[in-house]
Amino acid sequence: MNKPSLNFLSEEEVEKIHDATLEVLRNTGIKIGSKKALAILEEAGAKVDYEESKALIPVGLVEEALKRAPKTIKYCARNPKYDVLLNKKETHFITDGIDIPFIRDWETGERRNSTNEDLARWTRLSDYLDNIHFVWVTLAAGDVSPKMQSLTQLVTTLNNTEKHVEYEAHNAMEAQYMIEIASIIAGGREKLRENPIISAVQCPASPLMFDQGTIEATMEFARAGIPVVYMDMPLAMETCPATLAGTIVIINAENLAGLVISEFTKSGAPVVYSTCASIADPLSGAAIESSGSSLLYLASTQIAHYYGLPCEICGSGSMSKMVDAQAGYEMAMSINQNLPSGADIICGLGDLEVGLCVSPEKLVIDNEIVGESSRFVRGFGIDDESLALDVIHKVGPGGHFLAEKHTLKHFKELGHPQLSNMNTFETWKEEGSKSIYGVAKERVKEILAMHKPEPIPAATEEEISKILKRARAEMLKNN
Amino acid sequence: MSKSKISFLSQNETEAIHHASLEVLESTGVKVMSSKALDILKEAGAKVDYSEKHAAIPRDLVEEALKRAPKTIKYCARDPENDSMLDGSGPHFTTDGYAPFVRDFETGERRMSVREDLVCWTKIADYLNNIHVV
Repeated sequence: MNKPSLNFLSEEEVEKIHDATLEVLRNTGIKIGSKKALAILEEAGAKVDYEESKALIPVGLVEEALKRAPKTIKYCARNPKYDVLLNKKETHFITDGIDIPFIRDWETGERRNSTNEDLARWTRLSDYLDNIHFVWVTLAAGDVSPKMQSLTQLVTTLNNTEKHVEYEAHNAMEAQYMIEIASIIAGGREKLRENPIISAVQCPASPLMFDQGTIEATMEFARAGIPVVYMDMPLAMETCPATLAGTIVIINAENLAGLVISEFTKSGAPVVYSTCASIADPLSGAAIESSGSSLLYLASTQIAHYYGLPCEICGSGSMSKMVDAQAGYEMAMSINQNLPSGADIICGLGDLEVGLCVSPEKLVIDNEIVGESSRFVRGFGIDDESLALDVIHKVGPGGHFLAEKHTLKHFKELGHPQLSNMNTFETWKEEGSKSIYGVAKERVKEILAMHKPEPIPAATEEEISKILKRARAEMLKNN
Repeated sequence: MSKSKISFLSQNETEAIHHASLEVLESTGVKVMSSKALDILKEAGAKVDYSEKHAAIPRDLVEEALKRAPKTIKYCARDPENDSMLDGSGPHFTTDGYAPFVRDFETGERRMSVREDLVCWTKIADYLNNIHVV
């Protein structure tokens, strides 16, 4: 059965991009702020200049890394019923992340700094919503001391969802603590390697650079079997050429360079191809989400899948400052444009201001948009049963199908919106003339009142507290 | 040039739908509530039942109709700059049609529409560049 899909590059064009990327890796090279990572590349056969912190990566290394990389990756969850398989066949949606500093208040809707309690509630809401397949640690715990924010946010998120948790480490030490915390929950380091309940989004610094902290953290994750998502954030016209094709070359070069480092740190390290590319606004220089970024996401997915690698794109987002028509149409547009790419993961649900703020109401609305769009990309099958000739003949011209067994059997496949108001104007008015924002606000309250995800067991939490205490001491000492 | 295009039915699936439709026209038939239209179908070779207002349309009629139909259609406008060619190269957008209510241009209140609303509405649609047909 064919499904509606959107691949717009020809095979020849994909190969042209591949060749151009190899040329960049070989001739232009990559800056890497870590001697440890450079040493790994040098040993593998790259030409390394330690003074310039630069490596030229030959074609053979890329080919070998592509061979070593797993083509299917399991994102496990605390509760195995939420395990997700990244196998290029299905798209999974996740919340926006990470460390977002602002939230629209649960009661007043006012924009304010987020706290650890906001993160806990937000995560419970995400845990409930069925089109959110796992959680990206979304909010900054602004009320926690800055040094301990990252690890606190990780624990808060793990404690409030039974789904897989994606995060980021800023340096090797943080990565080690993250791995330690996750392995306590998973039941040991080997169990964690088999069932990674966390993954890490690590960002190259476009163009063509990796910071020391980021890349050394990815090396820790590679050794521990934690999936790493190389999510670059290039800005066409600023950190990339103004052409989308040139921008794709940079995206591809950064992803392949990351892949080489991971696979030569530990062969078979799980790596997800990724990008959060956008276009610079020619007037302000700010990142804008537009059809241009969607084209970058479609092309990136096509190239990742050409290599056989799973892919994560930031294919849903809004620039709006509030939950209004702009927020709705930007989300629906980006989701509808990007979902048919077949990317394995699309992140961004719940965001406002291109990821600087979130709104609980918007998360519920976005969950609805994903439901409808997912129905779209499932398509429909064509066989004797679905073509329904028998029932068409039985009902005949001018009849109706409501009373038919065939209708009863199949009507659920048509899908049904959960939040959208489909009543007549009069009924809608009688029921209080509610806007979608009002409906979503009520839904958020209902969900939070009834939904209690299973927390981390008390004994495990005690262990984690000890780790956090040790981390605090070590981080303060390093200050 | 429209390069990003979604299509999901395979050639086989499209043909399966075509054949199923021919089967419906031939075996199940259609009800046509006009004797004049039934006359035309009968003359063309359809099996017509006037008391049931029913016509069974054989497949060769469909094939002949498809042959006769123009494959490109021009939607002309008073100003030829706004002519639209329906030639499969991409969709043209039009406003919605036949609505009895309008949100008032000043107050935003919902009310019955009047002739003046249609005038204002059409002027807006005439101006907007992604509305190709009104």
